[in-house]
Order: sequence, then C-alpha cells, then structure tokens
Amino acid sequence: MPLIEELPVTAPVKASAGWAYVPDTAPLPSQAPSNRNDRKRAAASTIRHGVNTTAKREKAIERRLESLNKENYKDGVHVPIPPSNRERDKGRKVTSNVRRILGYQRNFAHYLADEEGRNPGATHYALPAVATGTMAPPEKMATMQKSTSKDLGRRKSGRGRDVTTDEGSAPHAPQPQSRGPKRRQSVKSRISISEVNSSPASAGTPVAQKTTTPQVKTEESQSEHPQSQDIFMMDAASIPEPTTVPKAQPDYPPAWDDDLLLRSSTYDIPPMPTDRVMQLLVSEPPLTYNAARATQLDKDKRPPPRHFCGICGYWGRVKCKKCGEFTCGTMECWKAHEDYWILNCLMLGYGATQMCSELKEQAELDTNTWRLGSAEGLQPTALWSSVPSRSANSILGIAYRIVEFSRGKLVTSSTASTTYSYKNVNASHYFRTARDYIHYETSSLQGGICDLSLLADSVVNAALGSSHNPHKT
Amino acid sequence: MARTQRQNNSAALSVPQNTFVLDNGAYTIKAGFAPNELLSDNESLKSCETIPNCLVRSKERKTYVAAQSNELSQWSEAVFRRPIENGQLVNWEAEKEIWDHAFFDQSTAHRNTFISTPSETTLLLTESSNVMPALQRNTDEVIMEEWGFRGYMRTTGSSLNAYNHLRALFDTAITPDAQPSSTKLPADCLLVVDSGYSCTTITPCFQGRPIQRAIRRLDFGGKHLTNYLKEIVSVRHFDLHQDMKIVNDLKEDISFVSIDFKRDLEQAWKGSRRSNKPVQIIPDAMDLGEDESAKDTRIDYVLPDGVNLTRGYARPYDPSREIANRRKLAAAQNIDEIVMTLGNERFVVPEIMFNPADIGSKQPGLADAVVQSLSKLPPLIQATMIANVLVVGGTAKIPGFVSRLQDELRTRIRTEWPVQVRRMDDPVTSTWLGGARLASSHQEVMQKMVVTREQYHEYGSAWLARQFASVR
Repeated sequence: MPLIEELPVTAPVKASAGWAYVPDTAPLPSQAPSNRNDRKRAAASTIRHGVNTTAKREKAIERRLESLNKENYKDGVHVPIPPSNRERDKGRKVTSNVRRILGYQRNFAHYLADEEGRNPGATHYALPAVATGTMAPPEKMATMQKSTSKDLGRRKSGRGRDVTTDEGSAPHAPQPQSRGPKRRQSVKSRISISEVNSSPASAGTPVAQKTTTPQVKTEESQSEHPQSQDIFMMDAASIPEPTTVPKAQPDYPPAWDDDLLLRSSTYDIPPMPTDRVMQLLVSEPPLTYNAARATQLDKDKRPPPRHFCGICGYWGRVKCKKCGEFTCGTMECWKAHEDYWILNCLMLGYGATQMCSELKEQAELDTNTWRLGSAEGLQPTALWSSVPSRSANSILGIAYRIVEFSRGKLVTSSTASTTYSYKNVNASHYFRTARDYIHYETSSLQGGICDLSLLADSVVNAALGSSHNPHKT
Repeated sequence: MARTQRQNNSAALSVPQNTFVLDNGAYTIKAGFAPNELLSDNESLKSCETIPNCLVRSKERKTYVAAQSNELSQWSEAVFRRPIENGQLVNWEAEKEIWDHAFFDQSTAHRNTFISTPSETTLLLTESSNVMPALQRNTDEVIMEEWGFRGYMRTTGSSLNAYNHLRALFDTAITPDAQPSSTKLPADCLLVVDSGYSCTTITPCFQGRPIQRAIRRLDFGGKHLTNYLKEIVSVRHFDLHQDMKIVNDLKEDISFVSIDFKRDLEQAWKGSRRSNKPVQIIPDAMDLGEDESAKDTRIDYVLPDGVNLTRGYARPYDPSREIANRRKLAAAQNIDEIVMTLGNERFVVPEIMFNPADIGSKQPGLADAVVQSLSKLPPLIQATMIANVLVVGGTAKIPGFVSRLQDELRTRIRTEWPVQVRRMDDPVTSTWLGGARLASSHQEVMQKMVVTREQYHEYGSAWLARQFASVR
C-alpha cells in the first residue's frame, strides 16, 4: 500500500457555530503501544478478510452483464398495444394461423430454451424437409454431411407442426424414408448449381471425400496445382476464374497479372479454392444461435484484465481488502468508497457501535501509515475527545459521527462537495456524495440509526440493483 | 407446370418499382421503395425512411407507436417495448402494430413508406444471422397470410451490403463515380461487421452470399453501451437509470473511440486538474511531433428536462462555469440548467467493444472475434476478406470506431496482407441501400430468390424456409 500523505490545506477555512478546525497532533495508533494480547489480536485478524470471494465476484459480474442487457429500467413492464385505428383492420380477415402467432406471449428466452430442448448440442440448423410430391421447382440441395438419418428422424418429429401449418402440402409420413436415400444420392451425384458452371475435371475424384470433414476441403485446395495467374485479390471485381456470372472487365490488360515483378519471393500466395469448394461453403446451413457466438480466447492469448476505479474511472490501483472493488487511490475516491462500505455494513445489519468497535480493532491492526487529510482541505474537529481527531475523516470517524448523531450530539458539518440532484433529492444518489447525504438527511431527521439504515438501504439498493438482498452477506 | 408458373411470375416481377425494401432492425426500421433504375447513393437514399422499431409508453401512460415517438418530448421514465430481441423478431403482436402504422395506414404512414397495394408489391425483408427456425417460420407465415404481398424474399441483412457501390471505398485509386455503372457485380469478397443495437455480427460474404460457418456474433451492441454509460453516469453525476432515451442521445453525442486508450485515460484524469501539475504526456514514439498540449477530452453536457429543453446537447468544457455553479448551488437550490462534465466516460464506454474484459465479460474483443471468424475460411479468402472489411450499423457511427478496428486488426494479421476497414457515409442505411440496388439492377438474383404468394399457398412454409436457406 503506498504511503498516503496529508495534502496541504488550501481551501479557506469556514467558521461555523459549534465546532472549529483544530490541527492534528496526536500520535498514530500504530505507534502507540497496544494493550491487546496476542490471542485477541489473532482472533481479531480473522474479521472479514476477503469478504468477496471469487464466486461472489463472478456472480456480481454476471449480474452486471445481465443488467447491461436490459431494455427498461423496470422488469416485467407491459406496454399494451394501443387500441386505436380499427378502421384499417375492418376489411381484413385475420387467418387463424396468424392469430395464433400474434397471440404468442413468448419472448426470446422461451424460443431459445425450446430450441435447445429440441436439439441439444446441435451446431447447425438443418434445412427443413419438404413433401416430395410438389417438388417441381428445381431444388438446390445443400450437400451436408450432417444430414444423417438421425437428423431426419429428429426433423420428422419436429415437422408435426409443419403439417398443420402447410396449406397445400401432401402428407409427410411416407416421405422421410424415401428422402433419406434420395438425399444421400444427391450428394453423390452433385446436382449442379445453375449459377456456376460444372466444376473442372477434378470434380470426379474428390466427390466421395466431399461428405467428410471440412479439413478435406483445405487439403484439396492445397493439392490443386497453383493457378498460373496471380490471383491475389486486392480489388474485389477482378477474380480471374471462369464463371458464368458476367463480370466487369479489369481495367488493365490481364497479361499484367503475370508480370515477373509481381511475383513474391518471400511469400507464396495461397491457392484459390475451387468453385466447388466455395459453393459448398456458401450453401451450408446456418449455425445455431449459441454456436455462432464468438468464443473466449485461449488462456495464453487473453490480455491481462484491466481494472478501473469505481468512483472516478481512472486506473484502479488500489484494491479494497474488504469488498474487492478497485479505487484509484486518491483520497477523494477512497473516502467515497469507505462511505459506501459503511453503508454496506449498515445494510448488513451491523449496529453502529458494534461496527465501530470492530473497525477500531481493524484500524489498530492496520499497519498502513495513513495520514488523513482531504483534497478539500477540511480538518476534523476535536469535538469528540475520545476519538483521535486525525481519524475523524476515516471509517472510524464517520462511524463515530453516526453514533454521536444518534445520541443527539452531532451537529452537521458541511463539506465542499455539493449534492446534485437531477429530479428530486431522494435516496438515489451514490458513493461520493453519500456522506453528504447522510448529513443532509440526518440534519432534518429526528431519528437515529434506524432511519439511517433505511436511507442506506435505498442508496445501496439503487447502487446494486433491486436484486440485492440486504439480508444476505 | 410449376416452372411455367414461375416464369410467368418472374415476367410479372420484372417491374422493379414495386419492390419494397425493409431492413428490419432492432432499433430502427429502414424502409422504402427501391428506385426504378440505378441511381447514385444520395438519390436512392431519399426514398429511405428510418422509423423507430418500438412502442414507447411515456410517464403519462400514453403509448406511442413507431414514428409517433417523435412527438414525445418528455423522455424521462419512458418504457420501451421492442419486438426484436437480441436481433431476432420474437414479438409479432407489436411488430404488426408497428408495420401497420408505418406502412399500411395512409393516415400515419410516411409518403415514402406507404404501401397501397401489397398484392402488387414485392417485399424484400432482412433478418439477422442465425435466426431460430421457429421464428423464421412465424415471420414467413405472418407476412404471407396477413398482408398478401405478391412476392417475398427474406435474406440476411449483412449479405445485402455486397451489392453496394464499394469500389470507391476500398480502392483508393478509383475516384468515386457520380454515376455508378450497372454492370458491377456484387462484391466478390466482403467481410461485413454489422454493429447494431443488440449485437455485433461478423459475416464474410462471398458473391453476395454469407459463408455460414464463419459467422460470429459478439453480444455487445448499442444497447449495452447505453446501459453501461447509464450506470457510470448515474454513479458519478446524475441518476439517469430511468432515462434510457436520454442516455442514448448522450452516448451518440459525446462518445468516441480512442486510438490510444492509455494516453487518453491519463489526460482525462481529474487528479491532474487538482494539483495544478501539467499532465504527464509520455512522448510516444509514433507521435510525429504533434501538438503536445494536453488535449482536453472533457465536455459539458446539458441534460434535457422535457419542459424547456427537449434534447440534451454538448458544449466545450468550461472550468469557470463549474466553480460558479458550485457556489450558486451551495447558496440556493435553484438550478436553471442541469450540466455535467464528462471526461473519461466518453471513451471508456465504447472501449468495451474492443476489450470486454474491462467489465469482466468473457467474450473476446471485436478484433479477436474477426480473427476467429477468419480462421474458418480458406487462406486466400481470408486475405481477400481482410482487405475488404465494411462496418455497418449504428454503432459504426462512433468517431474513431473504424480506425481503431483497423489498427487492432493490423496488429493481428500478418504483414503481407493488407487490412482495409471502411464504412459507408451513413452506416445505418447501408444495408437498405444494398437491398435497393439489388432490387433495381440485379433482376436475375431477385427472380431466383423471390417467392410468390401462389407458391407459398401451394408448397407451404417449410418449402419457403428451404428456398430462403439454400438460395441466398
């Protein structure tokens, strides 16, 4: 932990009734001899270290990412369709099918769960099979190695729905068996696609291999003799391969592609994959929704995680021992973080006095040489003689102030940081101004700790999201 | 029999002015009739309308449909209902309402998007990649049975970009044509990075058709950036977690992608301001001796309050103003305008697209996802694709996005291969433009892919799905 020193006081000192600024000259608690014996010290050292375990952190990150995906700030809000404009619907009959679809109350998660339930572990969406009786239009059949009989069987069960929705299709029951061998046959016979002319002579040999894994394709392309022309494409329109698709003539004489100067001595241009390979690639069925997601990089390729201060956004250099949040280390951000932590403690049901005693022990055990000043240059008061005045701005000090207030002794002190409120001053502010909020609110409150905990409740709820349960640790 | 019927249909379809191009996006719909002949981009774009694809319920519990939301002035606490979730059209009840309002109702539809006789119009509809078949089926059925279009074609949006006039973008030796010639093909190799509202999809397209095995998706899009910015601003400045639209405007106004994240973060540090020390700018080897005074990235943003000001705006940072404001606020609580100063939020938020680990996500950054997608392609295709990368979608409008992606890709691709990442002038309507060009000038492709109403009623929706899946 870096040494944090007091910054020189630059802001003008304001005089108010009831308290005054006094320079801090008391000795540090870490230097003063401690009377606690080793047993107590050892016991105390197990207090609340590593509150935030890795699992908790994971959960917090998950929750945060979920909240990033939210559409509205309130879940479960229903926006009904406005019931206007009935005239335009008058002349139109809604078919039962459409009415059924319009009445679906499902959202994306339902459909995704459905699909995963139907085909767990599938990576492609198989093309739906169609009745053969009405298949006059030329079919461009994708030659998929995945169209095994297992798929057909699965598809048959899923096609029950198709039957009800198709309006003119023949009954499907006898078809799947006949389509199976037909499909496999088509793989062998390789129905030519009208767009591209029939593949070059090498079509004969690797057809049988076509149904195997995609690695074959790359092998194939590498085994092809390299084209004589320089086919490295910089300009999209200049693929020099025979296709029936009319293409624009390149702007320069094609002989220039063979120029000796263009040949690279250090880098061999990879060969152009054949037409057939490319046609295969583009006619594959689409991946499933989950399979198409980009996957996490390998462990060694991942960049190191960067952390930022939760208060101001600068690099997160300091990690809070208690909650695992990062702060940049400036006094302002650290104090704001402490305030948040105190509120968190209140939330968790700690009484202020109990918390104070714990904190006091913690502060004594702390070997950091903290000397506290603030960026605004305020100095704590020596009103409470029992508290070393230096620490009044620390956790301890704030806790004491809360306790003292509840006993009716505290008079508020204003700080230089003001409270901004966008709509109204309510408990939906956070962190840096939290301490000021306590002062602002409590100055008008008659109550004590219980009101503060309610306030803290709402503040931390707003900070952590409504899913935060105050009674969980 | 069916073939002659098809030919009849194709003869009837060869009249192109009745093709309605509908780019159905999660945030906005881009729609309009495709022009008759091939016009320049600016001319074609005049027929395109951008319509918000949502139902909004305002604080006063009044519901606005689609384009009606432009009348809404008080955006605070507005609730949205979007028919498209995660890029896929789930909720047809809402979508039908929006489409009826925007396209079929003469009183509310815009001149450019009003379809008077669907029975004589061909619909060209885009969808996202990797849509679940059940949802595709729903879409097909509702469209064919509800409105009765004469012809219908459903395709992935990314592949339509291949029909755009891209040579001027990628080949700097060619000056942009005023009148693009009509014999231009679809671009043979194009890597489309569609960075929209719900997600970012990377689609390599070959001859206008996507290579399915290499399509990758990153679950970060404009929505996530907006939510992240909302969180940050709510912590540091004002509580905006109920004001989605306001934060969206804020994001669009102020955010940019930094080329050098570390340097920008140093410059945005508040600590330097306090201690009156000049910001330490470590001279970069690549700096070229540019102006070394601290580039202040701070900006003041005035938030709207729905009464005097309906939309927020940004203005340059004014330090004196802040001190004056503080004093005023300390004195009395009368605030005439709500201003906040934003510094590092401007570039930290879009940074999560390139480095999702910043917020703890396990997904790879955009450049790494592109590399993953490329790894599924044959080597020469990889080389060509990486030299023709087109970024489309709303998030591509963030200044610095394209150059940052190019820089990052450059560090990941071997030096022999050139890397070119470009975007059209308006990335939002880029897909629509591609669809319009396809409809106007590539009739043969249209005829292969369009399905007529008669065919649907005869063969059914399964046949339709097959048609669209195998012929793209």
